[in-house]
Amino acid sequence: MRVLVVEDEPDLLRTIAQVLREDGYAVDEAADGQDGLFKARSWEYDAIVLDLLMPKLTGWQVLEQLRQTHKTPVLILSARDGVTDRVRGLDGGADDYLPKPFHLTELKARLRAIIRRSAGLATSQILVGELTVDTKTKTVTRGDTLLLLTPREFSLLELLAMHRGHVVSRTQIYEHLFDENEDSLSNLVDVHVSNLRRKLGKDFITTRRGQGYILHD
Amino acid sequence: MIRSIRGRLQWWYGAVYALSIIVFGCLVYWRADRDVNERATLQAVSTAQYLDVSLRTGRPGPMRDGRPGNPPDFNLRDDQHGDHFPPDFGMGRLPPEFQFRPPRDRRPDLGPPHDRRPDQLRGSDQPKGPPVRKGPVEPRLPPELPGDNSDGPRPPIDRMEFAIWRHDGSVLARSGGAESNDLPDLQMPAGSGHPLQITRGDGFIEAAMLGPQEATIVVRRPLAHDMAKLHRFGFQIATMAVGTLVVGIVGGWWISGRIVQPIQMISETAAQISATNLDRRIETRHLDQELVQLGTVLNGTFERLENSFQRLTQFTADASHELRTPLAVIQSQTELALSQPRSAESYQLTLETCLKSAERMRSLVDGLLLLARTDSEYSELRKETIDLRSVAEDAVAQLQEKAISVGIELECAAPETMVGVSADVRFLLQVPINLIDNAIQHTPSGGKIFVEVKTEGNDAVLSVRDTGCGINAEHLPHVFERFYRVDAGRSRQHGGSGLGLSICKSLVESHGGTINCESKVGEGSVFVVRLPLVNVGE
Repeated sequence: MRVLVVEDEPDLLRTIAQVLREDGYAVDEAADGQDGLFKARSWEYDAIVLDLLMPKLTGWQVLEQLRQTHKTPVLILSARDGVTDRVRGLDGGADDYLPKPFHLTELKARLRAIIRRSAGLATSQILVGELTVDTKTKTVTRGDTLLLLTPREFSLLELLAMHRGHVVSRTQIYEHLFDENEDSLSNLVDVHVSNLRRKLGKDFITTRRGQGYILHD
Repeated sequence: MIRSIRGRLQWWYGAVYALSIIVFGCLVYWRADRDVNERATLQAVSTAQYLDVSLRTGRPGPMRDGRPGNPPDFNLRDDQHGDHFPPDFGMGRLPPEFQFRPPRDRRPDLGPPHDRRPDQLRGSDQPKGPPVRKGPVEPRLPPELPGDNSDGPRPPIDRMEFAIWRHDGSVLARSGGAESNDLPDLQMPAGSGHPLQITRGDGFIEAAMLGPQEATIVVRRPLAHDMAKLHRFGFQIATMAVGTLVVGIVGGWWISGRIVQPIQMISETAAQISATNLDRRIETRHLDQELVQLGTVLNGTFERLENSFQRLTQFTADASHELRTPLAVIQSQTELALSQPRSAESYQLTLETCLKSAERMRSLVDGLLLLARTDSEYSELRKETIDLRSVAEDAVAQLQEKAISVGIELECAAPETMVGVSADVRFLLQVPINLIDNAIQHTPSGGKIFVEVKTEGNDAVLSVRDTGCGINAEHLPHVFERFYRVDAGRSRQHGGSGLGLSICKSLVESHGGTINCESKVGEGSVFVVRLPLVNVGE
């Protein structure tokens, strides 16, 4: 999962990015509205954390311009906690609104929730055949057996599971798994896919040559 | 004491109205009374003159338009002459010297009747009077004579009585009412020296005059019926006055109710305006002009109230925003640090970040407190005469290091002599510090900040000029507003709270001075503080 954090307070930006990275997200950072809007348009994020009062472009302006082309889930994180601000944010196209100061656990839960909803899922557990992928605890179980995956492998599995039945292209995988600063080698995806196949079963992930990968039910 | 406007209006209006009605009624009654008396007097006088002319000419009174005038309205009781009129008093025609003279002419005092000679009656002071003619002269009497010829039943009138005495005091003739055989109790006036003498008695008016051959004519005009009529008239006036007063007061109550009604409407609207619906206004379209004024004044007050309420709400939101942001940093940093075991460097970084945020909050709280203090009262100011030069130099000295560290040249210029201002140095020092700090934040490395102290007229002037980025004209009016940021991101990175300039403004104004700002984008800004100059020589 790849998330964009747009926040003009440097310390807070660093903290949020760090906590999300530790949680297995690929995180891009933007320190002002203009940068944030540019990045939000350039890549396909799974979610955007957006501050409201920022230089160059305010959060409302970013949201308004972004919504003309993108449906990316947006969580507004703002020190403005008035009802009018929340209503304005939600009506402006935001999917959630979290006032500062906030608990990191709540931020993470809300992020999971908007990502889950955008994928059309009702719970944090995705059932794929015999496997249960829990996006909350970041674990994969087969029956009662806990399968050990690296965070990257889990992210790849989560991405494929969320789009199961649909082909996920290599570009999509790159975009969702690596942040802007990672020097992603072209065969890195292949390595992760083969690792997953080794741990979950050979036929678990089907390769569509020239198109990408698909996870069947 | 009546407290309601309507009641007081009614009270004053009623009092003035009643007073004017009473005065008006009294005037009318007095006028009618005077008319009655004047008419009665005129009747008595003209009757006396009629008798006088009749005595002189043997003809019935003065001629009017060549015909005999109407006889006065009284009955003669003369056994010798019966009902014959004019009465023949047995004197025949009077010689021309006895011709009638208008009794209103002023004549000399003639003395008692028996001393008078007939020729004295002509009046020696009027030699150029009416020319003496042969035969009876048309007497110039008042045009009206008592009595009229109208048909039909006549209302009871006061009948006149008269008596004529010869010069020796014996009665020549006297009237007697048809219904009464009593002789009228008319007395020959004692010492009646005047040719015409009018006496007002109780219920009558008497006219006495000197007739021909020193005869004395007395006519009495009773007033009983006229007075009764007058009293009836007075009663009618009083009744009408009371009626008018009642109608007027009731109408006045209604009118005052209509006048007061819009005031009630205004007060109801004003009562409905509260913190939640400050946007309500009094409808002034259908009000009268005076109330439109009141409504406009009230609406203006509501407008200011709403604006200041909005500013307060905005200020609270901004203040809470500024406080929440560092709080969010502290909370998320500590939460992150505690979520799993970390290296010592990581904990150190977390603690440094928290300290930085705490310091930012402290400076913000300090600023808010300072603002609140200068807002509420200036009693804490311990003003003394201080040198503005040393204040500026202290501020420059404090910030010199910071300026050098970011590569900015900070200079200070001041005159030779002391620039005295009355101020509390603890607070005033904050002004150049904030201004210079602000200039440092907005001036790129290699720039220059120039602090100058000088005197201009009666002002002590402190100016801080920088070669920074300048302020866009659209932001210029707002730079002293609390939490107003030209660029929301920039000052935060420098640790600015958004309160520095508004604190400056508040402090300068609490010292009776002014602060303003001029700026050109790309060239830099200059902030000028003016304080009242204190003459040190005194």
